[in-house]
Amino acid sequence: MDVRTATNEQILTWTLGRSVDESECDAANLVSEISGLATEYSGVLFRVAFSILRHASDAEDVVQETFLRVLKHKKQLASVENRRVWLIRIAWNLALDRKRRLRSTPLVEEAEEILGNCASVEASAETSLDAAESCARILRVIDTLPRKEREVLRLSAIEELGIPEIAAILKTTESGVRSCLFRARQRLRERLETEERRRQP
Amino acid sequence: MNLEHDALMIEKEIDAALKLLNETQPPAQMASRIHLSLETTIAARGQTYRGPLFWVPATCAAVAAVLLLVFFQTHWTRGTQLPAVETAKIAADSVSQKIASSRPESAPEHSHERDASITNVHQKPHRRTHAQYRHAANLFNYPLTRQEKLLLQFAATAKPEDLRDLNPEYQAKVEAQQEAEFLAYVKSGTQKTKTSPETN
Repeated sequence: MDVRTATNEQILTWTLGRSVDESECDAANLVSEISGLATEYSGVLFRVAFSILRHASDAEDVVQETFLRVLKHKKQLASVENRRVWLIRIAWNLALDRKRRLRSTPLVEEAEEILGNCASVEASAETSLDAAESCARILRVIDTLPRKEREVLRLSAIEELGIPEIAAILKTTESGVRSCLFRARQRLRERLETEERRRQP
Repeated sequence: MNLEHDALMIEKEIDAALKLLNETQPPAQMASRIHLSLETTIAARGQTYRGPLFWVPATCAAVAAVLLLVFFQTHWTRGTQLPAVETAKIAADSVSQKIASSRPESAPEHSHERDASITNVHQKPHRRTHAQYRHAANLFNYPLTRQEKLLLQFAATAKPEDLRDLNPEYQAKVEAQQEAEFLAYVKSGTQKTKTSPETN
């Protein structure tokens, strides 16, 4: 049997050593399709969820839940144009929903989470922890920004997402995203300056 | 100068924080865990999908059995259950028989025995009619109409003289008596008309 030209049903029959019915074949197709999506997009979905939750296991739960939602609405999958944006939107909403239910964690714990899941730890442990704490502090200030501004800022942190994709995720225009991003950075800078002044004696 | 330096530092801090956020990596084996959970969910759905195929005939059979039970029960009830009118007549009949058996022929109309019998009948109607109403405990009985209820109430509480009117034998007897009286009256009338010209 030529595997390249064989149908899924033939491959399954060959690998399992028995004939397969239509439902088994459909289920196998569905698993392979969604597994392909999971392999391709789980990284970006994790980062999106982590930018909101700042807890690795919660973010992983969100990613898992995202693919279960995809499975639940499998009929829509064929009609989706941009699957990446569609998946990110699902993960984004799930993460926001989970964030509402979670209690706030201490700053040190958040910093440790960031440090634990960060790929580039080049400096010493102390420096890394300082950087992670600074990151956690800034992310907390981002949380205090107006909803639209903080959403744009969080998504802009993920390099894989361009302005058009952020606009599609947040259901707004590209110019709206740009102006919102500008205002968000300005406001964030002002708040950090105020915070800095308060800290200094 | 110092303020500008601070602003620049803050911008750098913001960029560093956002960069750090971008560099976060998913935990090891996350993708395989997702694959596993997907396969488990699909397998569970497949099992639950097969379930109804086995349950459909069983459910249909159970529903058919219940419908048959209801049908036969209703028919049995309708066939064996006496209508309320019949029940009332039986009750009336039994009361009149009881009165007749308890009263000696020589006894006066308002004797003590008769009074006691009537009191007994009125105080304990359930004893008198218990066997006749036993079938009414059936679950699938149709509810009684207002007229039937009134008739039963009448049979349980009415005076024996009133109940006697429901007895067909008594009614036939009364009708026969009335007819005889009428015939006698007619007979006597014709005799009078025949005799009157003679007298004149």
